[in-house]
Amino acid sequence: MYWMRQYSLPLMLAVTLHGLAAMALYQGWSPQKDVVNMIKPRMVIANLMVLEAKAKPAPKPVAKPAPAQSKPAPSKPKPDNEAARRQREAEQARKRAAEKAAAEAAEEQARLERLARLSELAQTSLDQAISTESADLQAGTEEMIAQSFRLGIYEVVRQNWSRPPSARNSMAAKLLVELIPTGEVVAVTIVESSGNAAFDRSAELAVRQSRRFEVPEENSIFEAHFRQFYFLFQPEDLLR
Amino acid sequence: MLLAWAAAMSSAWGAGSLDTIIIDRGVDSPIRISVVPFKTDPSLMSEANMADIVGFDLARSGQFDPLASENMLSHPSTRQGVFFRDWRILKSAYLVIGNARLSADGSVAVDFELYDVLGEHIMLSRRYNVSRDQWRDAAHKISDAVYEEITGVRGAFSTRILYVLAQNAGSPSAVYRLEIADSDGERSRTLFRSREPILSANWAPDAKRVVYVTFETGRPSIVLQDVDGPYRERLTNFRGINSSPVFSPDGKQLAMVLSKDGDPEIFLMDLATRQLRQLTRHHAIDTEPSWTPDGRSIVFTSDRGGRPQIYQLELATNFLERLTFKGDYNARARMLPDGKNLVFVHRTNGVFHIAWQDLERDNLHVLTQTALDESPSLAPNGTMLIYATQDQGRGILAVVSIDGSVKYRLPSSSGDVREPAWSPFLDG
Repeated sequence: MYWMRQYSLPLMLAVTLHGLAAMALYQGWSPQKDVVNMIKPRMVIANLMVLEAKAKPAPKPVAKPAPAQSKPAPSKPKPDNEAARRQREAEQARKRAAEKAAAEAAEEQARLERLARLSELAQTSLDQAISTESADLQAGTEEMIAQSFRLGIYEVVRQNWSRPPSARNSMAAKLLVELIPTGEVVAVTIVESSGNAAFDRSAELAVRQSRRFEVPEENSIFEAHFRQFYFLFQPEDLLR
Repeated sequence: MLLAWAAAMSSAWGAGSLDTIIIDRGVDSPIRISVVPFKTDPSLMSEANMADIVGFDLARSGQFDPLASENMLSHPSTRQGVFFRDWRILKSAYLVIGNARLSADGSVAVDFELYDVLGEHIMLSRRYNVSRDQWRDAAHKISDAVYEEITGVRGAFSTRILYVLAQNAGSPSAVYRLEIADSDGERSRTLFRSREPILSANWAPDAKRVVYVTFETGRPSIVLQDVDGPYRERLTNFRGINSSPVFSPDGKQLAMVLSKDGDPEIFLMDLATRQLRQLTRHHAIDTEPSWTPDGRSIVFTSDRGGRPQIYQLELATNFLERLTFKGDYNARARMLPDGKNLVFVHRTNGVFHIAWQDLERDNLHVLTQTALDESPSLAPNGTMLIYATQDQGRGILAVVSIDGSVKYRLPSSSGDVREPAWSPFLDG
């Protein structure tokens, strides 16, 4: 038991030290991941749009009831001039206020409409820009996908190609291949012979022995790149 | 008709926008072929099955990998028995089936068919009528036909080889035989037997005569002999070295090495007049001549540069050119039938190899390692080499494909086998 007492302090210190170290490790050293996603945006072509201020006839119907109303009014207070004048002034003031309000309302509307049109324009050009950029990206991605599948096809055919002894590096044979979406070869035809029947046959055999290729599942990419394509058999690694 | 034309036009029209994948490399593995054991009449069962002979021929070429018959799912002998799916499963690209029947007059009728398995169509169908003792010849003809149909190169299986069989060499009871055999080493027979060494056997271009060096007179002499007849004549018996006799491609001249005037030089002998013409005049050793396929130049080994290297001498102009520059020993050269490539014995780091060199591009390729610096001999179609090598202390013959990828040992009789020479095509 004596040894427990003797070791208790060092034990606590050790645990504290390790605990601190663990905490420091946990909190202080998470690796920094700089994800640099470089997508080069298209140059934005900015067009200056000038909006003509259209004089809107809208305020008129608002102001119309006022003079209609004020018309019978002045005909009445002829005998009572003072009251009539005051009333007239009040009415004029009201009319002016109404007209001012109407004008302000009209201006406000015009401004709002201008704003709306501007934002609408901005939106369309932004949409356009987005769609063209995404189309470019889409095409780029599609080409990358097609290229990676093409490499896979190259590898399979290369491993299946056994050249005859009469083959030479100067020979070239072009074959047209048709696939179905599962990747199976359904037709192989020689469209350009190398001039050497054994060489042509070895190329045809290489494709037939491959039987099935890995092709993209995405139907649009398959149709565009893999439904039909050519092989050009042109050796460069022969000794002669 | 119009529809087909329209379809063709539309496909051609759209063709401009189709992708192209360029295949610039391959892996030249031997083509898997299935040679099904031929259906043979019971009375002919004592012969080796044609399929075995054909399979071994095709395997030796280095181009084919015949399927073992025990792995075949079926053994058809006619078109009705052929289910292409069976052969596709076995990954066999080609199929050979056949049968052999004994006719009433004692002759043998051999039929065979070659099929393209993946294309599912027949490529060849032939019949041979041969006598019973031409059984193996018929098999070799089938190998030639199949080889040529698939590779486009003429087959060299219906050819012969010459070699020297030495028994108890170096002892008083030594016996040396000049033997002739089929290209697969079978049906060997002795052309000449001696107690003294026999060397440097070579074929005439018509394959009817052979020439070789014998020590029967106590010193080396050059002898000409018919393959199938009694004719035998001694051509030279000079003082000193008489060796390396080689026929010109037109069969009218013989190149040889004679040292009668001091050091080994190369001479030409006109076979009609027996006149000699000296080709080299140098104090160095000039030996091991061979001809270019056009018959206009001699390729030979000379150490005039200090070490054995290969030179070419144009006969009409006496223009001399050195051909090999790599390694410290290059000798015993033979030119390939295309006249642009050379096969020879090459040594680097003390080890001998058989190598070939592309004369236009000057690059060297090592084909094999050999313990003896024995001359490689080329098949007449230039696709295979036969050479002598050691196996468990015994000299044996091996065949290697020209790209060095496939090697086969030939079955050999007891004794040391040396100095192989491959015959030309036997047009007959």
